[in-house]
Amino acid sequence: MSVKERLSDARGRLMGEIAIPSEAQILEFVRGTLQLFRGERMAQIGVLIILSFILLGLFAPALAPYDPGDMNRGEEGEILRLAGPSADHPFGTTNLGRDILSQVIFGARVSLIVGITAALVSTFIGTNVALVAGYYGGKTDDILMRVVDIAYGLPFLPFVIVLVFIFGAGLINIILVISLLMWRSSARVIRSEVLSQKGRPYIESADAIGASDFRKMYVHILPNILPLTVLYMAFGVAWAVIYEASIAFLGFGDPSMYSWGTMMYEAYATGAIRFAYWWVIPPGVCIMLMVMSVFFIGRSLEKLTNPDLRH
Amino acid sequence: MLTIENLEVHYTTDEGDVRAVDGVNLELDRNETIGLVGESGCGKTTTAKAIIRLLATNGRIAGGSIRFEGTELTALSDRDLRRDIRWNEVSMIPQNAMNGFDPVYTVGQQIVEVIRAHEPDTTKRDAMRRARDLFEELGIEGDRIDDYPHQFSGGMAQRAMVALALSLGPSIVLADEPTTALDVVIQDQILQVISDMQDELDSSMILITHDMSVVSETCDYIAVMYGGRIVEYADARTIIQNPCHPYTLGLRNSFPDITAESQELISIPGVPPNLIDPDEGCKFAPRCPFAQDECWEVTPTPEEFGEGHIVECHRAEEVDMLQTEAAKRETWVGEERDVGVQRDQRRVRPVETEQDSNSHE
Amino acid sequence: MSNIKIAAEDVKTHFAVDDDLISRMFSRGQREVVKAVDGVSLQIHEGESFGLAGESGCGKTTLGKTILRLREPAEGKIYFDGEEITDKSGDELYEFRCEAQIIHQDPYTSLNPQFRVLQWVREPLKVHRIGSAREQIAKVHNTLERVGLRPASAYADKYPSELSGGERQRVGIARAIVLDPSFIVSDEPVSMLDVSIRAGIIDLLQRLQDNTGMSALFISHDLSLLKHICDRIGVMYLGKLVEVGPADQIINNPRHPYTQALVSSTPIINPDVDRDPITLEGDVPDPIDLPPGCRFAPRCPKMMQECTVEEPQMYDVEGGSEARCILYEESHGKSQ
Repeated sequence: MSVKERLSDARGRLMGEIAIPSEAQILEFVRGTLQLFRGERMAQIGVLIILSFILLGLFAPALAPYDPGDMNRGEEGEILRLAGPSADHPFGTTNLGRDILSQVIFGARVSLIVGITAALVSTFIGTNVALVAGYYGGKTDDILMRVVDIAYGLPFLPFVIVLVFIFGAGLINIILVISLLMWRSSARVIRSEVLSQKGRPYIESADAIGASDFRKMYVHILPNILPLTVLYMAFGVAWAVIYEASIAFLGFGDPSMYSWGTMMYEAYATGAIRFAYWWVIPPGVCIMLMVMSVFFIGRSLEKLTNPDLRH
Repeated sequence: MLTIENLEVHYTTDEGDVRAVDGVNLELDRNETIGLVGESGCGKTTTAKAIIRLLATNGRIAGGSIRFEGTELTALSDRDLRRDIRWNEVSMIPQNAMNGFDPVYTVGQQIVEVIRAHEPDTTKRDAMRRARDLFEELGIEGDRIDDYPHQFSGGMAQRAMVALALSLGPSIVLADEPTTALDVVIQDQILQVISDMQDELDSSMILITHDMSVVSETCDYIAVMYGGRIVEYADARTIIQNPCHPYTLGLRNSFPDITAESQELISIPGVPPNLIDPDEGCKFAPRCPFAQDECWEVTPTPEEFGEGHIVECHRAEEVDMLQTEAAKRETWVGEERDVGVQRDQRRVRPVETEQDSNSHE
Repeated sequence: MSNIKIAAEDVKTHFAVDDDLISRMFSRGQREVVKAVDGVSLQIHEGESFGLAGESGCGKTTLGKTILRLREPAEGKIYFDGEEITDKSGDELYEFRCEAQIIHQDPYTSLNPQFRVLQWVREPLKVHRIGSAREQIAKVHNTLERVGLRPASAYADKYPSELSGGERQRVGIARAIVLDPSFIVSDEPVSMLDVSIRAGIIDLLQRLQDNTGMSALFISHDLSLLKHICDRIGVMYLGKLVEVGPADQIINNPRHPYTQALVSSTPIINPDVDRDPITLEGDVPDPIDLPPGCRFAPRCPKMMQECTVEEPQMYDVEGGSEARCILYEESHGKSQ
């Protein structure tokens, strides 16, 4: 066989196994993605914002003008407490003289970590519950949906606070606690979609060839509910960021990290919130931007992962 | 009574204007039934909807005229059309009866609403009585006018839809696949009912369907549509037994005849035409086994072939050859018994040049 | 006497109405059931093309799927190649699933929209672990060409959304035959396709049967189609077979009053032939509440007093058919 034939043979084998797209197809997909965003102004802005925050978080040490924990001193050596915006400190300083801009930049890290991780975990739980409940139906479905009902019955913030109080306010605990309650919304809606897909003839076709339950759930149904899952993940990020900020603002955040929520908490706790607008507005605006952009992107992602809408 | 001349209907889409109807001419007289047949996307439903202006929001009449008893329908305002023409002169039986009714009102209420909208002097009681009478005539119990649409079975709902369409005694009924979703026993009953009402009201009908056996039985004339144009028009018997256009011949081949002893079903290879940027020449050329150079370059015009028999084909005079050859399987599919679909080829060339077309092999 | 490929003995398939938790709690075994298939016995011979006709709701689709064990029968027995498969569990049915396949009606929902053509047609081979990766792909390509999708390489990468209805249906057929089954159930295989391409699909199915000797069960409400492609036809009404026989007998010489009504209502394309439609009163009744006696009696133009007493059995009639009607009781012997 010639080299060309061998290559095409290898690619053919790979294609069958994992359905790896060819180079041309990958290029086409990327180009298609970019083109999709080209038409959507909102999603472009969303992407831009998220990318900026990611860059901010990634390169925080390089970008932040100061170490966020440093107490900065003025010309005469005094600590620059609660200084308003200036050339040296565009967002001013905290009551301990810490540069707010640097804190905001480092805060992006925490928000993203919490947001994305919590979203992933909770959507993972929710999707699996939805798949199992929707696919098996009957008693399994009944039991699982009652669990979801119970989860819905729990008031979010008070419960989170209690758990954080019991287990301590570390970052991991916060993420876990948020995830343990957030999965309930995705579970219910995704289950409906699972039920709808389960009734389609292609599942019966999978029955006819003797596919296992696992295969039907994860190889057949899951790819079809992926757009919805992704959407809920996007929402999850937004909500997790808000929850983290709320928890922190109420004083139950991780004190060793600078998150946008803890910043606002400190401003409140020291009483500076009454006049030090420079301390409160930047983190607030960041939270708002994060939530907005995640939402915008989620909408476009839905279009992207759905091959029916690709054409 | 109804004259359609050079009608053009376009739909605006992201990819451009879809020329769904591209020059249709039709004449309908009193107490006549014309069948519009063709594949999906050929423009038959669009033509009907254009008459009473029920096109989707992205559709518009781009040219031509529709004259009803002297009035130019395309020039009427929306209000005038709604008040004077729809329901009381020209009414429509849509494809899916369930969707034609508002689910939150009883069927009786909806019929009454239509009657009183056009004949405001009618009292509610009289209108209800008319609705009840209509139901009885159509074989539905009169009491059921107080039922909601979802309480009707498919067949009953369709009958109710017919009642609604006929409630004002229109001159023309546009029936869009009225029985496609129904079982054959009910289909027969509904077609019979429509025919009886037609006789009683002295009204005409345009019946849209893809089922050639239905048009053969119920229609006086048949218009075969393809790619937004009427490619052949004649009385029903001629179309069924003596068609000229290759497409009609192909369609005939693909219909199982229950009375035939044995029959070869032959399908027409290829895919429906692109109506967004149609090329020059006959739209059927890519799928036509008889296409010649002229067919690719020059759009054929309708020509009268016999008494009232209109055909749009450059090779219409060779009718004997066309009919003989079209009956043979090899004409359509070549040496292979089943050509399937040739991908990536906008134009499926006829048999002789098959070697050229497989350039991607 | 040819072998019997698949046999059904008094098969009944029921669907429970109101299956949610609350209803189950409050009904205590009194649940209503829809008897979609209510005692059907039939046999399909090897290589035979058997048509199942009837109006919507008669149970023909449910019967077809029950035979394939895609629906669980409530009662009765199913035999495949002489072996009983009624109670076999999922694992034991493995071999059966290699041998018996289904072609669905709606090409727009019967393919998984997330699977490319190659993956979709290849899956049966993967599930049954037949052949190496290279062999599987080659077999898929070969099957695609067999169903008329040429060249296979142009189709293998496509998603269903990029294909026309006819192409999708061919992909569905490819998936059904890639395991080289010996029995195929086609559930209204062309009713959702445009008329001009139906013939191509029908032709394909017929050719496949001729070439491989497969047995086939065609489910359709279109009698003209069934007459064209089937050796024998069975007519169902409200869950029971009312007449079975050679295709031309059923169409040209129907015996059961329902079959007669059905045939006489089918529009005829030939303008020289007239038909005399037999009108039936009313609609198909609710299958939940069936009156005693023959289930067709309320609508039957030939109903007699005896019809409401007991459900008639199948009686042999001339020409090789059987009809479930007491009109044929005296003159002919009883069949099963």
